[in-house]
Amino acid sequence: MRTIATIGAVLAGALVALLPSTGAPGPAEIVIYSARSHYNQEPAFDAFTKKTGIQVKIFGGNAPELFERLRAEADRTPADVLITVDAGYLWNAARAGLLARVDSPELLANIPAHLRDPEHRWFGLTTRARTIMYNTRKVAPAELSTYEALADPTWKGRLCLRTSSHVYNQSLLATMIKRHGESRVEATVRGWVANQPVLINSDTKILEAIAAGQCDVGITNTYYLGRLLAKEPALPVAPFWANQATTGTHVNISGAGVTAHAKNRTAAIKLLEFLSSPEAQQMFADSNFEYPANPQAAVNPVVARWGRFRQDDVNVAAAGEFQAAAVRVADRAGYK
Amino acid sequence: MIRGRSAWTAAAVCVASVLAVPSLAVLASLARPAYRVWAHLWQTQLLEVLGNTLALVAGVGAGTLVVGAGLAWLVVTYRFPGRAAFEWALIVPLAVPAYVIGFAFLGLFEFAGPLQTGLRRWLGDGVRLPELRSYWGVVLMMTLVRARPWSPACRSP
Ligand SMILES: [Fe+2]
Repeated sequence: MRTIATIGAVLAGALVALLPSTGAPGPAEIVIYSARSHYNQEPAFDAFTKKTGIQVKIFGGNAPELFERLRAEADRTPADVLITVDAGYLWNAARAGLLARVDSPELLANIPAHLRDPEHRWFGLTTRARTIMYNTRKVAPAELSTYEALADPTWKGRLCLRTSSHVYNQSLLATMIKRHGESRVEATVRGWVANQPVLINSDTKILEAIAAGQCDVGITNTYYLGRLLAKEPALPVAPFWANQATTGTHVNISGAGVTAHAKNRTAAIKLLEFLSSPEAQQMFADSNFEYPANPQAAVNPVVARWGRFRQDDVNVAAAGEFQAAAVRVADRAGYK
Repeated sequence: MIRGRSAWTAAAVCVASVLAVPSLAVLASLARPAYRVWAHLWQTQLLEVLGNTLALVAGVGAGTLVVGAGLAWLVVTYRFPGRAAFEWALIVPLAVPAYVIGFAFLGLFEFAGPLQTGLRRWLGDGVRLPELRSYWGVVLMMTLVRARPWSPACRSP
């Protein structure tokens, strides 16, 4: 019987450990649900605590998990702030009523309009550019122009693409659909598929494949290249800023919103305002080779070497609005 | 003693029902089918995916039959040095999830991996190993993970 009691106690303990405390947290603590991968090491949160005395408690998880959790907890959620990568997830959370409107003049001034919700329920904190990457020994930049041009038969057998099941390429297609409509984007994707791309479900592995010469070009987020170059500066891979003469390079965000049932709304808004300030934006930019969302902050030196580029200024909410359409287009075009 | 055993049973049922929750949640979603999604899948990839599944069942089934049954038969029927170690070592791959083995093999054997990079450096740029991201690659991986010798312990004398 004692064993049973022990098992019971262990199970109960495990359950308690899984749940954040639902008791009223002290006024000087806010709870964050964060899907950013290095959530417990981000210096910007420490800086916030140092500056304001407000403790920050972070629970990790991937975006769909945190979404389900917030929805299940409803008004009993301990979370004050939701942080996720990819605007599509924030758009979904806002549409499900999980995020509250925040009319902070500071946030609106710090974050450009296309990187935040038009209804002010979420705000971009970092910008991630997804562009064309090429092997510098095999491709001249003059051969490259747009995402669409990678559908040209000259790229047959030379292309590495991320699998369509991943949200990054879904968001890329979604913003293209917002701009050009489903049928034009489907024609582009059919062209990509006709070029028999090597499909790889990892941006890092795509960059390694380009470096090794398995393919000549690919499409990845730039911060993955930043990480690889930090380890191996001689890597023969460089970014090409796609669509500069047309729509601009596709960008996505990692961003945050205040939850609809936040117990510490004022402190949560204060955190978002701080995270959007040049000071915190600099820390974000330095720790992950991303682009700061606030244009007043400088980029990391490794990133600065890639030069300036024009972003596609379509609102990143398109990543959510047209995500289902993007999946359907990929399926119809046979893009796996 | 009987009370002790029924308490164990109760505890086991408790643990099992907690573990069953995710599977039940997935099954329950079938009660509210998303017709538009199913229609889209039918028009695009459902048949192909089902075909892939059947082809994998056939390939991995045949593979495990040969490798698993073959190794089990060798271990049970013959005496050779290290037989006792093989009897348990052959079960070890079961403890590793298929995708972990898959990632490890992919990392080693893909184009940008250390093996092929070394081969290219040594024998020239044209050297290629068969693509692991393919039907036969998947059959090989899943066979290696699932090919548990069929219960050699039960039959050993
Ligand atoms: Fe990423």
